[in-house]
Amino acid sequence: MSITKFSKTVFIALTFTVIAVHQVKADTPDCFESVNRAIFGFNMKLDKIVFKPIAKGYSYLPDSVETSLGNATSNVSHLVTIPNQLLQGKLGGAIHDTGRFLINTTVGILGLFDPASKIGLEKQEPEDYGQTLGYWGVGHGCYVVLPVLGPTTLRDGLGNIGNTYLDPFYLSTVGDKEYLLDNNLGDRTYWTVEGVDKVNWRAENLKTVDDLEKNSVDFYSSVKSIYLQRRDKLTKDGDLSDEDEWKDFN
Amino acid sequence: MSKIISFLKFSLVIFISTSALAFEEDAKKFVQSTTDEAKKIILDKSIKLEDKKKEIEKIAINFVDVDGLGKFTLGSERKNLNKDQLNQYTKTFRVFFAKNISSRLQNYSDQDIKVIGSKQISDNYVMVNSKMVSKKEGQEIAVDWRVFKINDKLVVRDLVVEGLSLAKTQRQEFSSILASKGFDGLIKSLDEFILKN
Repeated sequence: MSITKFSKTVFIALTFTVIAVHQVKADTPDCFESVNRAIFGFNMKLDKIVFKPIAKGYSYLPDSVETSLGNATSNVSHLVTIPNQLLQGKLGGAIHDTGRFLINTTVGILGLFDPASKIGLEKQEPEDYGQTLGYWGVGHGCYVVLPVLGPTTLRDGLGNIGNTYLDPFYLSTVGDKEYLLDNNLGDRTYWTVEGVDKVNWRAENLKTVDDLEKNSVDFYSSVKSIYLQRRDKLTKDGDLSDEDEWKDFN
Repeated sequence: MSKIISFLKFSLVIFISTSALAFEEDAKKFVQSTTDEAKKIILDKSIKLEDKKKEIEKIAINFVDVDGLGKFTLGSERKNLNKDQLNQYTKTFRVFFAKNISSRLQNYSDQDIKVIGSKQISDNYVMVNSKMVSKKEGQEIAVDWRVFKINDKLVVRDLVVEGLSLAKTQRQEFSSILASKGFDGLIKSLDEFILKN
């Protein structure tokens, strides 16, 4: 990465952090709602024309093939999860996932199979740089919908920069590094794994997304709410502590 | 005398803990038996779809504190509404809720709800934990139920699927409509949903 490109990335990252840190205690504001809604509409059309049909086709693959492809992409994601477990002081989780990664990459043939689960190293919730920032107390900042990529927040957007540029898999494919036996795996490897990961997610959620759309009065708000709740759940490891509003509700 | 007081205190502690345990057990049984009953109706091939919808709506209305859920989903805005508006909202929300439940019927295939635990949160509130198991898809989904005791009757106020609260999601939807279209806009959107389903 050139110095100018790097400085720009750092500048954007710092701006995002400053905005997000100021949002620690507030609800997540939808600062650009009209633009977000327009992009959401565009994304949904794109989904109907491109992603949904691909996911439907993918869902006709034998279950064993789908599971193996899902395993492989999930295995690669350990490279982002493990450093973030360490950054959050979750040493036990990091050791667990390092064990999973080593076993599944070797015995499990590049992660296509999951022998680690069979010896008690079961799959855990993923961690990423957005969650780490949340764990450190950085708030969401504004809610944003990106073209093609979908919902995020300023904090998670910043986290995604880390998820990409600090990911050893990205660095040894799209980046110039040669981590694996002095080889660079090439851009295609990265984009194929990313593509399969997204298609796999869409295929797993074909019914859920349809059901949500059908039963929503405002689909945009439903997606926003689910995205934010899911991110909060991951950041707080399931401890949502939102019981107070129910305890006091009458 | 002090022995009597100690005995009374001990009895009180035992009484409170046994009634708390009984509440949790009742809440668990309530969720398990109601979901079993609903499943039986849904899978009964001798019942027509329209009749099934009516039966499920009936069960849901007894099972869920629909008015409480309606109040929750309205959020803080309910304080700004007058009595007539609140009445109009409550009536519309009841129909909306029933339609919302019955329109989800066709997505049901072979899922089983298995109650696996519970946690008492307050005197009248228990969180019942369950797993939705799909044999066909080989999936297990965590589903938690917020069960309240209101006037000695058990009711559900929210469903939390894999950590995602349905009531909260709906409140976010309504809040967005209220912000952009106001109260009349919300009623109009609910009416449109009712007509569509």
